[in-house]
Amino acid sequence: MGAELLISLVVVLRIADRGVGLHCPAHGAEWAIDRRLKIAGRAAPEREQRRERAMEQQGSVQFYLWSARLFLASVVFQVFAIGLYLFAGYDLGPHLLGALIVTVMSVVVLISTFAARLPGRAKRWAGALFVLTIVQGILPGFKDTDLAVIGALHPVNALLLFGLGLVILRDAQERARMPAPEPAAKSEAPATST
Amino acid sequence: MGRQTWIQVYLWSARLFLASVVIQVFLIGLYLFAGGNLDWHRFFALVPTVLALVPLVAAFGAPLPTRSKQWSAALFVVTFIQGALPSLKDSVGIVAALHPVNALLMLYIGIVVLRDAQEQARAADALPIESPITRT
Repeated sequence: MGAELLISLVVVLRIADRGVGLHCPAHGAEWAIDRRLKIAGRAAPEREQRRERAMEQQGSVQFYLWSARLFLASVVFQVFAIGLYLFAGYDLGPHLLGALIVTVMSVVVLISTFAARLPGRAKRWAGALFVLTIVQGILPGFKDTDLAVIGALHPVNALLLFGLGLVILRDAQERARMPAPEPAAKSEAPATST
Repeated sequence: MGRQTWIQVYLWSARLFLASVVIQVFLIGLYLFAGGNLDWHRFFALVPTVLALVPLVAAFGAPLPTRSKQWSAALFVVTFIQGALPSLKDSVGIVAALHPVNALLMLYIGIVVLRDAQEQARAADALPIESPITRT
């Protein structure tokens, strides 16, 4: 009798600790009820947590989407700024300022892929965007050197930045369109003990 | 000319158009950064202009859906405008400043036309060929 009591106590403690039921021929029914109550009590906060996580994820994807949009806008502004210098007698100041904005935006895009915990492919695209932006800043430095032809790639690299920006924007739009995961999962349903 | 051939013309002209835009941008880069001649950029401008006309002709020749015709027409219009913009330098400089921005637009529409051309080519390849043996 004492041993049975001790075993029961150990089993109850294990249930309380792990939150799962164990099968016992003598007390099976009571424990099953206890287990269902435990799962029901736990499911509500978990559902809440999952909903919060989904909302956070959606927020991060929106951040990714908007940073991609702003990156593209900054590239267009940058190209317009060089147009103003070449065709409308403006100085190079807006183009130099634009270069800073484009670089900052490429960093923001890269950060947003990590914040949204996006797959490796999205991170790689954003990484490539950042690298190309840095390269873009370096290219004009070749102008008065023996490698001036490399400097001539500065506007070509701008096209590449724009193209890559479009790829990232499409990816962000697709992710933003994806529905949020369902709050309830099948595995969390109360189990019927046998 | 068969529909398949027109679609191939549509596809290849879109590819060549995009390549010509990249070359054209490199030529202005040579002028600005490597002491190149601006005439290279001026004369080569004819190539994207001609290549922008080919998808439009192919879209009508195939004939492709209205959306394809609209995009290829937009490509031609944008390319035509591109040639006119630098001449506004001394009159409306700020409009002429849109010359490089319009180049981005040409690239974008060129990519749209290329993607459309790839879809059309895939759809044309997927069409079942009617065999005279199976026809009863």
